[in-house]
Amino acid sequence: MDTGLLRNNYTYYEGFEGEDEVVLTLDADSDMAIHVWVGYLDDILREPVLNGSEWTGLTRDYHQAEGAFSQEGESVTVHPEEYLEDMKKYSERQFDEPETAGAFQLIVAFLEFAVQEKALVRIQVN
Amino acid sequence: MRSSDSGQAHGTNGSPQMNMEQSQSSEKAKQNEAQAAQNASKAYDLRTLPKSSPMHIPKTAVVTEQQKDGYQQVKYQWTRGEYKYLNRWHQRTPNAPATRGNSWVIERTKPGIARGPNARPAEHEVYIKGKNGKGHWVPKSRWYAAIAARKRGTETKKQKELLNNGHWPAP
Repeated sequence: MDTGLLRNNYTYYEGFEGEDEVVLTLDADSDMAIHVWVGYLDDILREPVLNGSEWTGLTRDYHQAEGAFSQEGESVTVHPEEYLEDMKKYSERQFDEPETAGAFQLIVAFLEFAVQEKALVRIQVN
Repeated sequence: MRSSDSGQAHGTNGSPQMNMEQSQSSEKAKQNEAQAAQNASKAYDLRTLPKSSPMHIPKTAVVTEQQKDGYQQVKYQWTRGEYKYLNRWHQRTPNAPATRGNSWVIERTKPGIARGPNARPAEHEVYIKGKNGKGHWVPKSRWYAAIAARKRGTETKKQKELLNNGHWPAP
């Protein structure tokens, strides 16, 4: 993906102003940020794996109300490798909403870029 | 000679000590004015707002005031039993129907369990007003589906009702 598309990208939040958004930002460059409506994230993560393994990444944060999804609501800084590996578990899922696939691809591309750049990622839910 | 604008009867004999006190007084007065201006711009009163909530808000709830893009919001968060509650008062949001004013939206989450005999995903729910005026809990996935449909312009009558009934009228 063209890394320009990862710069201040609101594609999957436009039209949802007023609703919860999850923002992923490159810690080293705050202009590298994507904004995604939480409803798309819910669609991605709705059926987490229940195979006896602990959850990781956004699956853990979303389903266990931790990290950026804790009640404290603070932004958290994370290593993207764990979050990328976790996201990839959903690559075969049939999403309910037609646009969720695009949001998923964007999140994966962002995390891949962060890994490539060896950069930390800040996650915040607004 | 500089006069204090704090209203306090400080003299101004020009000594460094008095000038520092006057400066601190003046700075404090400016801070008070700024705080008063901020309070005056709030569309709510924290002392009375919780009483208008359709769900009782415990005194121990954590309160967060937010100025969002184009609207104000106050969040009340607390935990009771297995559930984490989020009760939000907010002004009309940018994409809300024109007929909707300020609202309460109430959600709760039962965190999931990754492993073990009770392994399950989290349960996210929204509190919806029923026909009898009482509230009941609905999976948030339905709420999200309704919001997505509204954005596409394809919301059904039931989805429109769900979104209306999940926004409890607020002062």
